[in-house]
Amino acid sequence: MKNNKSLYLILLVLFVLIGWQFAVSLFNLNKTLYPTPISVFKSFFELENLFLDLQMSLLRLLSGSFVGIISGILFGIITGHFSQINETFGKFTNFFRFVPPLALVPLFLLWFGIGESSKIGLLAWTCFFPVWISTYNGVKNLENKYYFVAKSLDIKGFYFIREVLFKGSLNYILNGARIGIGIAFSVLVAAEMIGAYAGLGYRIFFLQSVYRVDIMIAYIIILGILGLIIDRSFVLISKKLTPWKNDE
Amino acid sequence: MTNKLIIKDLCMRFGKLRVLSDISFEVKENEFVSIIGPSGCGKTTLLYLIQGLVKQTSGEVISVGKKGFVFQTHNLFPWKTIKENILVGPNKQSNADFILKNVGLEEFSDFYPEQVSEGMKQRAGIARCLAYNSDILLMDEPFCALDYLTKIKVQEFLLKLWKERKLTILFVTHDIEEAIKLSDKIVVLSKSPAKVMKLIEVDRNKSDTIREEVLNLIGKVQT
Repeated sequence: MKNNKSLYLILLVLFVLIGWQFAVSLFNLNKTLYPTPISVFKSFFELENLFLDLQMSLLRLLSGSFVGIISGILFGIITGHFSQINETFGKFTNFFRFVPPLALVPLFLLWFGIGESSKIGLLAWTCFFPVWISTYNGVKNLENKYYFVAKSLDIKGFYFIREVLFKGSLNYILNGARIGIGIAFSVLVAAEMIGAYAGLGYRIFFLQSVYRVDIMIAYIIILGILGLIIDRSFVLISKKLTPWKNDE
Repeated sequence: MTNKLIIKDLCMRFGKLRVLSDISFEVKENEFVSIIGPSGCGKTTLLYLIQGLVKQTSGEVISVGKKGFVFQTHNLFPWKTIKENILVGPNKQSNADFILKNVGLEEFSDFYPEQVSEGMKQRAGIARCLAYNSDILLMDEPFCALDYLTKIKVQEFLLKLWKERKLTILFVTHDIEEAIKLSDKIVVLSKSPAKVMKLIEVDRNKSDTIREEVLNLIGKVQT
């Protein structure tokens, strides 16, 4: 059954590639603007800066997401557990959730410069909100009975936060982080197009200016594969971190 | 025998609603006391007050020893294994492996609560209190979700543990048979606002008389 599915997938990919190749020849399209799959395939061997671009983009994504996830978890636990803080700080912060991160790119560039801090800051900002909201929901949805258990066993302070609030909300936190990293990935590419000297987004934008659409498409395919790898790895890590949920 | 628990004039209100009214009784060391009463009369609230999970409106609870609570639905943390659940809390002094063996769960120590049976979960809930070094167990209808055979087994297990560890147990139930089978004394509560209607010393040779007496008392308040 699984083999059949893989076969159908390969057939579908082949069908799209053949269709694409034929369409370019059939309609006699400009090959610079509409390269054939074969020329795109060949361009994969011309990706001189790929390693540097991957390195830069991943470094930005990982550091930005890390900062966003950690601060989102902390803020989520605080606002979820202390309703008074949520009433003030939470509601104030919530306003910024509705500001599209890309609208902040010019501002961040002005404030933090064209270096790494503006991009890492923007990605942290992007990742923060989904993680915060998920952690908040996780803590809020923690049933009362677990609070009673904690109280009956004298579980309090940091131990309570780590063992009950954090671990009890871990599923929510991981879901939020997965969404956050996904959005941060899109924002990363857009931010690199606007203000960077290396990175996958920068390279695609640069290749547009020199009409190397074939390499552009190769980069776009790499972006898709990278996004898929990041998401799949995240699912695997989540399963490892929440073994009690593996049966579901 | 010394008193392990003294409940003095305990009252509880939720807003205008009076739930408990001047509840007073004592539980002696190594005594097994059951609380029985009509459903919704405030038995669980009473136990929560004794444990300190909610604060009483007035009255006093004096306890000599460490209280542990066994909840109606075990309340194990689903994200922890059985062993981690038993070991949870910062004040562990007892040996977890010994307790796991004691409650017959040593083979299941690395399982998650969802992977074991209801009876095992309830035993783990009891073990958690033992690991917390509790010598007074407050048990809130702990066996009501169990099937008949499992219930008998866990009841026997509890009695064995009670004798071996010289525990003091305050046990809420709605099952008269269970109360007669397990306890030394039965506290019969009236309907809400609950008062102590009668304290019955259990003589198992006179089970029928006790059953009839409890039924009469509860039947009277329910009609």
